[in-house]
Amino acid sequence: MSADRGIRDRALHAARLVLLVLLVSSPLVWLKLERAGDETRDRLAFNWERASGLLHALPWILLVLGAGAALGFFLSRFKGAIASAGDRVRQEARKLAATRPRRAALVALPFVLLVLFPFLPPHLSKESQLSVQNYTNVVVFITIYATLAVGLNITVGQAGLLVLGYAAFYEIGAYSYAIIAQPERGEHGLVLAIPLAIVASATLGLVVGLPSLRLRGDYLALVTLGFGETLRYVIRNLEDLTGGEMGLSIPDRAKPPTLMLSSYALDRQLSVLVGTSILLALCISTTARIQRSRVGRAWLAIREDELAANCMGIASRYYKLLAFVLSAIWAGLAGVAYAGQVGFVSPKSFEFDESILILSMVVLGGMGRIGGAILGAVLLYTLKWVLQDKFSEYTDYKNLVLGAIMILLMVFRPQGLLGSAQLAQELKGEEASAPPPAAAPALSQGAAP
Amino acid sequence: MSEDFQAFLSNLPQAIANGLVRGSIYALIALGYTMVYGILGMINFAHGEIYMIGSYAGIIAVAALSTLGLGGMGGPLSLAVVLVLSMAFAMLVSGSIGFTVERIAYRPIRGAPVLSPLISAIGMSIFLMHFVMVAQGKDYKQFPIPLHDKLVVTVIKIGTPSLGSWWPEGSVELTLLDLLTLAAAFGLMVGLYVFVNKTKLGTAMRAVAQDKTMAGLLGIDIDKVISVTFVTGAILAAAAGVLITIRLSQTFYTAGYIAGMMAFTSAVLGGIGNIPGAVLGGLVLGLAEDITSTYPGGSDWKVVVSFVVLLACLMFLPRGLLGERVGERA
Repeated sequence: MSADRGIRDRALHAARLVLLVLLVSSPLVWLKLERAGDETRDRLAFNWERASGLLHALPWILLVLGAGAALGFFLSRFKGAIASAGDRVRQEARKLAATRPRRAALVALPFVLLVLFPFLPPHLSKESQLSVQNYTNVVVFITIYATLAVGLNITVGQAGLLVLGYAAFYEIGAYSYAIIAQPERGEHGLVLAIPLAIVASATLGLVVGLPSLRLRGDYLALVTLGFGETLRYVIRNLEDLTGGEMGLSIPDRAKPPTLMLSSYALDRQLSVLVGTSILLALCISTTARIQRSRVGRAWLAIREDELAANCMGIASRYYKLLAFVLSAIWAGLAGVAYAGQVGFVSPKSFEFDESILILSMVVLGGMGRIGGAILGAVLLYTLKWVLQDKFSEYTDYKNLVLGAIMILLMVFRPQGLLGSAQLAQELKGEEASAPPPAAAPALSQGAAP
Repeated sequence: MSEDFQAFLSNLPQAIANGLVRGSIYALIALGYTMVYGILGMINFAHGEIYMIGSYAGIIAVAALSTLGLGGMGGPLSLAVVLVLSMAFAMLVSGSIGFTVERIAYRPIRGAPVLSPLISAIGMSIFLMHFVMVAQGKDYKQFPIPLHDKLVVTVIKIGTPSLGSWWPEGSVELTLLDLLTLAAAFGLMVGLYVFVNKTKLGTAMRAVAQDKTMAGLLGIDIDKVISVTFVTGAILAAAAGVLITIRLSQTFYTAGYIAGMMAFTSAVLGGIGNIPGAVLGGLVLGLAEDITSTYPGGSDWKVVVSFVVLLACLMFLPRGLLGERVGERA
């Protein structure tokens, strides 16, 4: 009885909030400013197109709502059965992934398949070559974004330092390649670009990290955002070096070398894919090892409670700087990969949107989980690509969806898709507001990694 | 003295005047940041978007009046009434959105550590910005009445030869619109001061900012006070949005991003959580920005200058100019 009551109250509460949102958003949604041909000023009109569009979409909306309600009913009815089935699946999975190499292989398998797919068809017609090329392009970007997400996860997830201007590190990597690839600077290729990008992004990481050491939480987020924006303006204003608003293109001679892998037009893309896959693999394995090492534990301790970590003898300033620098380096390398893939860099590719996309990947997958960051990158890049290429009339909705995902996750599932219960508790702050039952503290301490 | 510097000096008085007007707008927005920070200890990233929504709502209200034939060009209502009505509508829309934002994105996670509300706030900011983009379109929206023709009529010229012979000739032009903006901004600030310091609700607000638990124990409805704070901040931001739209005669869906950053910088500069500090910070930042862009070639760098001010302030003066209440955060 009381459970039903709770559900009804929650449904009422949700309905009230939905009504509030609909009401509040209505002036901006239903009224539009339009201009007749001979007028010089806008007039206000009711947005009939949107109304009729909504009317047409109404059956679908009802269908989705109905399906959601049915699913909710089903889940609440068969809660026990579902939970025990989940337990069984989890047991089986645990058996299958009993040893570490096996576990790593299982995690890597789908990804390897995804990356290997373009190599499979050796000779194709022109059209299918094009579609494979398109696909390869997407996979290259997924690997680049996965590298970025894993890199950002070091600061945001593992060390608990919210970095908002991550695209700055990505940008400086891409620009270090593009700048030395210019004809007047000798058209240097990757051999010089990679070390330069590492040095440049690590330096930037230090520059951002050092003054940020004293800051926490929202102030830190703003300082990193400020640095990112400042760097973008600086790059845009230094036209002699960076080409300003016009950007820089990379001449053919300085582009990444083509491996002789197959005989058709995909060759360059496939070589880039090999490069980015190696980069991603390197990034994942290094980061995973560091996470399990003394350094990773220190980050965890700092994330949980910096004061306590300091008291335990962890040099938190050093470890925080290390997190900044490592995370910056991965972004710098991803930037090189981006420049190599696209062959052109401009300030437009590294706007705040980009930082937000990467942050959403980390948050969606589950902060602090490497697998989560990769999952987030795959899902959100696919979303971006689908909205851009397949449903281009809905491209504008991309950031709307990202924003909604971030809010909904923080309210309903702060640990993200793959996050642990411990992380959830940490992010919801339940320890602070409601003390757990007597047995729980000992248990949670025992379970802490 | 170089020619660049001469030109800079001759334009300086005008830059100071513009900077004061710009700064008063920043201050209006900054008040929202600082009030929410004072009470919840979080940065309401979506505040810049609330300001932007206010500017859209103001345009919509004026367009509605002129479409109905009531005001604007040749209608029965005078210009002043139209502007007051549009500002009232903007305050209504922004205020209700501010209220909703708090209910949806912040209240459910109020007790959580800083990372969750922060990410939620950033998500809300992105959501609102792109909601307006999708709902109202990607183009610049013009203010429906060409006010520049009407309000620029009064130009106040102030010569500056009295400063001495080494100071180059120059003059200050203050339009009626500038004076109106300043008057409206400072009127609202005085209103806020009275509200916070002299009314019962304002006292409750200060009590909640000081100690939430204690205020709750004394029978103050904390939820209500927090809602009132968000709505008040949103109303001030809406006023700023309408004022700036009249000045620039247009708005855009990303307008809230840079303005929000600047206003936030003002709030930090003045000492976050401190209401007079936000006003002071806004004025200082507005002056810094306009004086920078007066220097030849400086306008490309004015955003950089503002960010440098923010960074320097956070690093070396984390309590701000007048701040007292930062404690462990910085």
